[in-house]
Amino acid sequence: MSRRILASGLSKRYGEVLALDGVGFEVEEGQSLALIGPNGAGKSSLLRILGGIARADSGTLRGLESFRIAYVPDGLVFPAGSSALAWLAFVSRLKGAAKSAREAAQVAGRALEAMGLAEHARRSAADFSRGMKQRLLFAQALIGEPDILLLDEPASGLDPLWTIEWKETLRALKAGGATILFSTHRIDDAVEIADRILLFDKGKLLRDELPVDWRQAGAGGPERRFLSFVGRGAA
Amino acid sequence: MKKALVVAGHEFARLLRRGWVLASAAAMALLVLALSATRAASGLAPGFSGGYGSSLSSLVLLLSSLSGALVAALSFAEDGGGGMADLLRSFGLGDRRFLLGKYAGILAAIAGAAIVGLLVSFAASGIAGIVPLRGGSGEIKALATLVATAAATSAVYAAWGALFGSASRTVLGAAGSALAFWFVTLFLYEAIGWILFPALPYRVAKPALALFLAIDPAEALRLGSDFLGNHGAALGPEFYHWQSFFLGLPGIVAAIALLSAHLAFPLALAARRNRKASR
Repeated sequence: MSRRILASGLSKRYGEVLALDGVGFEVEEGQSLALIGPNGAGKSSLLRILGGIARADSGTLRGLESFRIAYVPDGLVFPAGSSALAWLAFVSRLKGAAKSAREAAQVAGRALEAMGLAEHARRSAADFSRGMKQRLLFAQALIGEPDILLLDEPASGLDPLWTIEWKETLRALKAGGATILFSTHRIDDAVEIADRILLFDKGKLLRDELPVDWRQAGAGGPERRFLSFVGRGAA
Repeated sequence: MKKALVVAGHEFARLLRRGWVLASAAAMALLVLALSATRAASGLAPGFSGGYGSSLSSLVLLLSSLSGALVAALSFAEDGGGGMADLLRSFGLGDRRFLLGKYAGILAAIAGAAIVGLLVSFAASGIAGIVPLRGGSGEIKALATLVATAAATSAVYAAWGALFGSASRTVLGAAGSALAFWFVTLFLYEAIGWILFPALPYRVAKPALALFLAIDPAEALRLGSDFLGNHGAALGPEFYHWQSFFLGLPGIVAAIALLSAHLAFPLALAARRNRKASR
């Protein structure tokens, strides 16, 4: 029997801002969900709650405890003084993927290799380009063989080559049974990769649809459909 | 506990790679060496006697407090503002374990740097003949007092640095708060005492002075160092009595309790702040 995550009535407020307003949805194990919406729509807040980083003010979240979760934040700043290898070795020990420093270095080396960063292993992660940092974050997420990936703007800053690579990695992970929730501003990516598309605006979940609904959007395509729902344009 | 140790080890290694931790060790070594050379040039007796021991103690207090507060504030602010603390939370690393692990790593780096700086300067000054050390028990005790002062000062100020780093949204804000705290506790607080206490009646002044000195980390550490170095009598009769108390068993217990309070208070506030940030 496949596992599932059930979120219901999730609300989150940061001071005066209502980041999430009674959001509810269900995810089956192995599904991939794209979270789309304008800036401040609540996508990152939802991923932070699912990742155990923030707590919802109200609402319930069931089924998440049985998953090994990996989270990729958006725009992480790497502190200076830590090489990519040392940082990934640190992550692998925290995640319990390595028991000794030597094993951690091996795990980190493999993760760097997988993301094409092996030749930069000794460089300070703080000095990486945006795209390289994103790949490093992806590398840390894959350590410990997670079965659910929460990715906040994972393709942000990636060059076209690595965007293609990223999509292929997601497909491979999905084929391997991973559950994936990712936020994106690239509606085409959402339509191409996801099993379902969740559209957010002002903290509310407006639509929970299949990619086919977006592909068949008619004149103007998915972008026009997006604008029609968030109320900043005509359908 | 194991995860906290992993965090501590990573933080320690990371800080050692940063130039300014090594720079603080070098500053400690050079300034102690300069102080020793000045004393030797003035033709005073060798060893740690008189004002020399006190000057060394003040120098150690000054540098250890500055590097402790600043390094910890910067380090915590980098992780908090940059999102690293959030990422680590997603690994199931609790806020308390993160705080204690990071704090332990920072403390090991800065206290280690201060102590290495001290030992290097003494070895260098001994070899160069600037301070002809005789290796007597008095000198060893004086050196141990300085090492203890460096460790305790680094620990207390790093705890405050952890609070400022956790509370600030920016690295600059954290550094500014740490510097302001350092200046107030080391210089301004003492000046307030000089103005306040002569105006108080004697009966009130004594307990008020004890409380005044115990509250401020710099004053408490300075006195602790003076008492350990047997310099209490030079400060006045009241201080001699307090020194006699603190060198006995009840006094040692009281001093440990006071030091623990100076560590626990800012760390508890930092933990509270981190918990709030994760909500």
